[in-house]
Amino acid sequence: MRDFVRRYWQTLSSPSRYYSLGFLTIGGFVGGVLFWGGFNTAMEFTNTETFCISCHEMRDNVYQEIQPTIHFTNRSGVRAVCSDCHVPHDWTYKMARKMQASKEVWGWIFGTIDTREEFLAKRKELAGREWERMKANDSRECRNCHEFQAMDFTRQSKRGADAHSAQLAAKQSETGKTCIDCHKGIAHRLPDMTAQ
Amino acid sequence: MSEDDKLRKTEEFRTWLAFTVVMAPVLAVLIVSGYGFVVWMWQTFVAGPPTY
Repeated sequence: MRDFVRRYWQTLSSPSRYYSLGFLTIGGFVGGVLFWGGFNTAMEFTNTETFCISCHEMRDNVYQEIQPTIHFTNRSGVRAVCSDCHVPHDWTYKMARKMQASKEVWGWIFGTIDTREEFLAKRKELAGREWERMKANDSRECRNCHEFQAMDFTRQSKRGADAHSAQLAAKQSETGKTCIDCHKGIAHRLPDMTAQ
Repeated sequence: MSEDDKLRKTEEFRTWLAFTVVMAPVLAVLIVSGYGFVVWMWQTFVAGPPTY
């Protein structure tokens, strides 16, 4: 075994005797292209609705709830899928979120949320985590589609226009509000909010 | 080509294949997931959720 490793290490660390530099460069380049394409395809696949609702935890609970809401069913045919709101779009934070999902894989393997009752019991904690994130990043994922600068206040209800032009316009650090402060429970039902 | 040269040629090809098809992709995935994991831990224990 040691001889085997040593021999291959020697092959690896010395110039190739039988393969041209051209072959090795192009071969490595093609390998790199294939890998990067495959990597991104796999990464994109984990962002699809098909992938999310392949688990019953998602399909039977949150997926049922989003269907009657405006983000799923609307006149214009634009639909927000799970990852549009729940996965950061920026690369670094996307990778961090994908690693965080290992916790979800753990829960899936050990059946942490196997029944509707278990889901309802855990729902406040789960929702709270998303609210905390959106509050911290100034509702970044909402703003991937909804732009404050592009809002036409004349086409909003008076209540909406008042809130948006006052609290939303102010900087979050100066008593301002962010989307999630008012728009909780718009895509899934609210948890039981009674204090424990 | 002598037997020794043939063996050397096979070994060179095998080494190249193993590194382009297995080692480099595995290393790349490990580095990216390691980076993601570090950022996650950093968010969990130090920085809180991303505020960018």
